[in-house]
Amino acid sequence: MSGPLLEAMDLYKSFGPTPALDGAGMSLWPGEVVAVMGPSGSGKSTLLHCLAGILRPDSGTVSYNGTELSALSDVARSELRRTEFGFVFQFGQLVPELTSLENVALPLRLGGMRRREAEQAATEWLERLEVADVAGKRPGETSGGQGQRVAVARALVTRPKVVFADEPTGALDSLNGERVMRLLVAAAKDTTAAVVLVTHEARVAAYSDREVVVRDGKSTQVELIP
Amino acid sequence: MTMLRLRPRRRLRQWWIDLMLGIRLAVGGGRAGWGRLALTAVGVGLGVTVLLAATSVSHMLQARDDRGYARAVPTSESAKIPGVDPVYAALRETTFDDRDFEGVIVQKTGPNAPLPPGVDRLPDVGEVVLSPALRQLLDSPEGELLRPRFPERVVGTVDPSGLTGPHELFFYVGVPDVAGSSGSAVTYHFGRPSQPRYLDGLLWLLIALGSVALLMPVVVFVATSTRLAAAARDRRLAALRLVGADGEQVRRIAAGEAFVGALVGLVVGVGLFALGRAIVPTLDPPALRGGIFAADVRPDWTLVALILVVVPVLAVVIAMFSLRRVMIEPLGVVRRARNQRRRLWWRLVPPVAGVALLASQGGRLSQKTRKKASNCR
Ligand SMILES: Nc1ncnc2c1ncn2[C@@H]1O[C@H](COP(=O)(O)OP(=O)(O)OP(=O)(O)O)[C@@H](O)[C@H]1O
Ligand SMILES: [Mg+2]
Repeated sequence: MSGPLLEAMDLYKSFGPTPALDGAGMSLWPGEVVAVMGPSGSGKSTLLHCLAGILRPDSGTVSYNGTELSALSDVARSELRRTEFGFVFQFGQLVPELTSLENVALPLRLGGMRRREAEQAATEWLERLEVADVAGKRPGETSGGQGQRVAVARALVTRPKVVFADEPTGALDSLNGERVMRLLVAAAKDTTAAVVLVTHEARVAAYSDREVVVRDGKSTQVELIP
Repeated sequence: MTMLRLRPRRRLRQWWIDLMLGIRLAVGGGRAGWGRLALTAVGVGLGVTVLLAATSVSHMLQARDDRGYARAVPTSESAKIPGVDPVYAALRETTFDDRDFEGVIVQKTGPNAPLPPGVDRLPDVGEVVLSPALRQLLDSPEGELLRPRFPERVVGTVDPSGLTGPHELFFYVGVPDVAGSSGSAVTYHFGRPSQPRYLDGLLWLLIALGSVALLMPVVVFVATSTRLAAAARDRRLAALRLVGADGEQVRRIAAGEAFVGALVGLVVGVGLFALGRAIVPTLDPPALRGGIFAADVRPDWTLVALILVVVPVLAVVIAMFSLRRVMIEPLGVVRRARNQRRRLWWRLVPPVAGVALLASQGGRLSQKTRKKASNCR
């Protein structure tokens, strides 16, 4: 692989009169963990959403493997989310009606995989994230930490190239937060997935290989200090 | 990245998986999920019940009429039938304790008397055949004062084929001199040819108004619960979009979900209708003297088939249509068009239609009441 996996340049995005991104950009190389840091309201989540193609910037480009995301159809971007990307948000991304097992199997099912195979893969990932015991429970019946680990299992079950994590430990106490981060980073390294990790906690950012700082919609890539 | 086009077979499987996923979301979604399904099912079920009941009215009235005609006493002398000993018969109407009832006084002229429906032996002089309801009334304390009017020996019961309803008070009594009494005729058979009761406009209007009145609260109920459920559904569908469901898939999933609600609603509707049908014979509405036999409450099967097909299809179409205006995005719902102003003329349609219906039937209404007065049954 010659270029970066994911590259964003000159992103502008405003919600009404509020500018959220003001020329931000960043690149992501295969397999690396990048922390996106910055104060609240600085545009971190907006940047992540643009990178993942779930929000269209007003201007600027996001390319994945050399393909411009805005040029893709909804179906193609959906397929990208299903096969190449994984998502872990602060909370609420699991489908409340489905059990943990069904939630983890969901992206595979949406891709047409047979139930048995999909659930087998899901079970393996639940075990790997140490939440096999809540396989049959719905999100409302698990603890916050368990829920986030189920979400990590779901993000990784398709063996994506990029995991987008927006404050994955934001709703957890430090002990559970550490555990989720440890498991997330280990699993990502194992599957060579790159991670975009939005956080404002230095302790969480410590799991990253390098940092991008966002301030008032502008980003600064902090180069790796060897 | 590869953009492989799904081959037909795989596409079919994906459709199936999406629909199943929608069904899965409708059932077993925890307490809230079941509650939502129950609300939908009750709403759709009540609607289906009202529709089934409305389609039953026509047959119910016709069946009552048919049995009324089949036992009618001809008013003029009927043609001779060889081998039958004619009877003198006359219709008698009376009241007891505010209850109307009627019967036939008969006088046989020989052993081979014709039989009215539901009666296996025509009474001789001093004998009487009673409807079950009349017999029960006579046996009860309430019937104390009526008993002297039926001193005759009871020799039989009129079975349902000779009654318009289960609570009808009806009798056949053998009397010595029917020939000389008023309104009597000598007849070789009972019954007049049945007139097909084509439901006239007025009756249809009443059925339509009744159904609308019953359906109105159901519609409001369904609309409210749908609106309440819509927010939760949009959130759920957005979560599915995030993990990679495309717009089409989300629509199919929503369709699967709506289909389950409609299906359970149909079952509830048919169940409620069956329950109503079981209760109907115990009622004795003044408007339908003698009450209603359960067997007469039979929906029109072609309309039933239509309802069974249309309700789920409609539910699915509405679910998919409601998603046309909104784009479910991974981060939530985006309204495609800014909220359209609600158009007034839509709301005017029901009252205008109602007034038009009433106006078209107004003339017939007065005509009808006049006719009713001279019509004894
Ligand atoms: N959907 C939206 N509608 C309107 N304004 C929005 C929307 N999303 C974000 N914003 C605004 O854009 C700016 C950047 O928001 P963003 O969520 O990207 O910040 P953030 O860095 O993730 O903050 P936090 O750390 O609090 O999550 C904020 O001023 C926010 O109010
Ligand atoms: Mg944020």
